[in-house]
Amino acid sequence: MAVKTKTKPAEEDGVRLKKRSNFGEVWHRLRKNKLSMACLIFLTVLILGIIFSTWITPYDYTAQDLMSRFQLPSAAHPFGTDDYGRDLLTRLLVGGRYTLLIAILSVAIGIVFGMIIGALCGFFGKWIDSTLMRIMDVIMSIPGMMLAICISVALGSGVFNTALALAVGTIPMIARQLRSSTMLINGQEYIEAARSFGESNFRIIMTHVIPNTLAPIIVQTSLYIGGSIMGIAGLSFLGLGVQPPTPEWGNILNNGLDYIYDFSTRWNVIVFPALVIVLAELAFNLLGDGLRDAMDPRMRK
Amino acid sequence: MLKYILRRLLMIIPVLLGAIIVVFTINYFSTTDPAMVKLGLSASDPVKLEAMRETMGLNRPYIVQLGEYLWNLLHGNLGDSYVYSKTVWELLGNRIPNTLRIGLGAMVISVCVGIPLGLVAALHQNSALDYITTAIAVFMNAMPGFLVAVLLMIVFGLKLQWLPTSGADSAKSFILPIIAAGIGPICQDARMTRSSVLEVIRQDYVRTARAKGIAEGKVITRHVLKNSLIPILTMVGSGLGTCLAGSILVEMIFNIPGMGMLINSSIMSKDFITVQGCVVICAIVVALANLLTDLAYAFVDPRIMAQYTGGNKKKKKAEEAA
Repeated sequence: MAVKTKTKPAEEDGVRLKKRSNFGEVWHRLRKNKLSMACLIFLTVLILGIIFSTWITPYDYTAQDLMSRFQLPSAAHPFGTDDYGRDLLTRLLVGGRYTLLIAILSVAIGIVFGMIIGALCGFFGKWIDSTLMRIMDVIMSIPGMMLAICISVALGSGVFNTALALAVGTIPMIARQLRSSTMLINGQEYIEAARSFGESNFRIIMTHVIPNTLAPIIVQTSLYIGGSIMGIAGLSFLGLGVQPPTPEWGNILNNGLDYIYDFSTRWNVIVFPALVIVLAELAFNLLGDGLRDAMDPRMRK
Repeated sequence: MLKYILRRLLMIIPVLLGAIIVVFTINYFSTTDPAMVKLGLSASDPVKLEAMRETMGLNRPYIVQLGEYLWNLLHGNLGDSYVYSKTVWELLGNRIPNTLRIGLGAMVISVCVGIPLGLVAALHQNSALDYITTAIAVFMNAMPGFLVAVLLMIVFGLKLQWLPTSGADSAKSFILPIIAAGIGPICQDARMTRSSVLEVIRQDYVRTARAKGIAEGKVITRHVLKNSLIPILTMVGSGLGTCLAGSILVEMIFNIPGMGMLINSSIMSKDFITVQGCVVICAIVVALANLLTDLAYAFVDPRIMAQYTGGNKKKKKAEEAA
């Protein structure tokens, strides 16, 4: 459906917007959306901060200083210190590497597998479609969080395992979407043309089907990353996911939650990790919404 | 109608079976050896370990173990705990009501609050009310349920001391957990209702209804709401899974003895068969909820039932709606 609506305005405006590529068109519309741009800037700053954290804070994220436990924010420690006297800002910045790595990895796994399954189903139809789609239905019938818990328990902790645990739940959603958009383009002339040139099915899927159905999925990446961050936090909260002492937003927050009854004096160990998680997720979600609107202006308002 | 219900009922069996097989298979390929967990410290003795594997039946082929698990499940037996000398059901049974209470409570408030909010926002599109509702919904949607639980606990439990912060002794102690688990679904329902109603409200038949001079209230209930209910129902139906998962996380904050606490302690003690049991129970509850959603579709939209008896078109319709 998205493919259809995407090409239509371009054809109508073809005379005026001759040179602007599809991507350029989306970018142009996105730039008008102030909220999305603010999110994009926030995320860029956040990611730069995470990458260059060693130059931002002088502390080592593992360095314990038992003399200065539970310090509230000050000039030396902008976010205060945690229960081992470690600088919270440093830990959050370094933890962001793991959190975002897992989130991006999980979405990437989900997209690759979802894409393959969706394209196969939509392209071949018949028994391949019905078999794979029934399997997807089964996976979808298990609540995403429960599935992630189950896989995470079976595979154990670690960056890749956590990413995989979160990815499995997203595969069916992506596969379904790609299946329907593949079905839409399947009857189009360029597929027929490619077939009449004697191109193999594999080649048609790789060079024609996937590139033409990918755009809506790419746009949703941002939304999926937001969801993943929430999932990681949930898993960490249950004691799964990346294990301490490796910092990760979820387990930093979880660690802080041990001191919930001392909230009035030790609020920083809860407030800052929570704020980082919520803001990052919010930014990814809003950026995703903005991108979706920019992709498909018809959906807007 | 009876035929429809029966067919739907029969259709959830393969899906449920598949879900249980998936969960079993994931656990079967677990990196943790159940015999090692069961033996605990004495697992270092390879002879004992092998003997334990034999008695637990772990050396049998996958398909036999799966068959046994399914057969036992059919008799309400979820297997024996690795850690305690109890069956999983003994550990789980009396905890299910607490989790269901929170999960269903969250679902009820999500419907009672989310749908009216979304409707009001859509009817007053682009008003301040609409913007505020949407902004709050977007913001709260980004909050993990357990974080909402923490906030509620700090404000109402610790600062104001209006409501208890832990335990499941009275109805009062369920108020905060239900709100915490329900906030995400409320926001989702509100957003979905808003967009669904906005799509319908511009249709020609709504204009016609207004032109005919039908009272605005009637136009909204009979023409707008009724036609926008399908995507909302899908959302509500799938929301139960979210509510249950939310409940599991929220229970731990409020120290309510439900499935969430059990999952957490089972993860700590590597008693993975109990975790598996919890997931299976959730899958069953969600499957039943999906069944109810499907039945509700038929009540809301007679076309669906008509299509259904004609063939497999219903699935496609549901997919389009989702």
